[in-house]
Amino acid sequence: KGGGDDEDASPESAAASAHPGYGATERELERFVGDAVAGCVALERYPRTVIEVVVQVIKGDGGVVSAAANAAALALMDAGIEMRFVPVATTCVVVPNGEVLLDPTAEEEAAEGVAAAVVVTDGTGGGGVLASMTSGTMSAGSLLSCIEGANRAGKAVLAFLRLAVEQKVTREAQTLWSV
Amino acid sequence: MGQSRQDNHLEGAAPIAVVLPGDDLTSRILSPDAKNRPPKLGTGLYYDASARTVTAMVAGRLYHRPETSTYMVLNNTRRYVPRVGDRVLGIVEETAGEYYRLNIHGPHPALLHNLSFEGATKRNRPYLAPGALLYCRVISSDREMDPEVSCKVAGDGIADGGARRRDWMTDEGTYGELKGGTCTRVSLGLARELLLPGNVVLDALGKQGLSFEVAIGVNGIVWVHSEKPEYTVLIGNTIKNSEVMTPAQVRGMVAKLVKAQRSEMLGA
Repeated sequence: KGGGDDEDASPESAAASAHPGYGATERELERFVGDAVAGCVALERYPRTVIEVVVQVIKGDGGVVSAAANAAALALMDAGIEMRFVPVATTCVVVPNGEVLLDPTAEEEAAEGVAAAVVVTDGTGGGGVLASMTSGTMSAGSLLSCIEGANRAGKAVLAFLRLAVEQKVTREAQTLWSV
Repeated sequence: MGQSRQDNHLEGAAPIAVVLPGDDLTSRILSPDAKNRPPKLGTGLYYDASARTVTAMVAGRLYHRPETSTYMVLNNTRRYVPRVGDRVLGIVEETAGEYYRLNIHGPHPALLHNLSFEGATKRNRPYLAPGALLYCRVISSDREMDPEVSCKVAGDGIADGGARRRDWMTDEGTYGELKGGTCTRVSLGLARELLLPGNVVLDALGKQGLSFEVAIGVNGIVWVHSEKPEYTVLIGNTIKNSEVMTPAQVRGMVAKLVKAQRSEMLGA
């Protein structure tokens, strides 16, 4: 039952595909995460090269796709690849009574009658959407609520990424750089 | 006054400015009364002339170099992008016609013309086997083409950072094949720090009375050669450790390791 948008790790689906853990769903997610993140990279500065990002899901409890997209963005920043801005992804689910939940668990994603949306924004809260992926049916109003929620949450996620970079830079300033 | 440069960056220094890609730094870098001149920007910053904005393109520390009034983003990565003038270590992969193809750990292999050695002629040139390690400088780094390197000194040597120009056969010149020793990979930031005068770990190793040779490539490869293999390994380890230690810790670590190594060699 395809309730959420993360990899289906149940035994039935694993037996169905030739490579358990890497099937059509993973390829679709690769495309989504790759396109969302590639839109931010200054690709014109890297002609004749391939930038490969490998995401390995160790443990997932809902919101795996947005975690993968955020991890890819953080990995690109750590590698020093030039980006125009940082893409920030958020997962929202719309429960049957119309309420919108952010950052759902796997149980919340797989619940009956739930629709999910993964929205990638640029973290400024300006209301723009870089990429989105939905599953299930939701009203147009609910989709707009998801986008607004993702924009607000995106600011918080970007602040967290900034904190992570600050910790690394502060440590390097003490041990590595002599300036 | 004998104090290492790396001791001067603690309290009292300017606060560290952290930037992420997409951060608008116009207010910090462009002064409003500058006569529409483009600011001096180093790596990681992008100046949009039409909108007169400066944006960060990488995540790191915004650093201002007062001597040259340049702004840049300092970040420590492991991926090297060749630039003209860089001095790098390359490993010969194969011979392709009149060129050697070197692995400089960048996006593409570098080309070295087989006569690009001091005093080399068609009849008198080095024959390098795959696996040979070379110290060379980047002479061309177009994005659309493979980078080119050369083992010849630029100009008269003074402009090339005081490089020595000696015939390739003497092995005394600055560039050329590095024989013996071993090489390791380090991050690009550590390679740049090792090249600064007064670097803590190289200084400490010298003070311990070790005699060794190092060649440091800005592409993150360090070659070490000393009289005994135990010392070579020790020097390589201390260099790698120094990336994550404060200057005081580095000096302590070097003293401890050298002492332990010497007592072990005497005892054995």
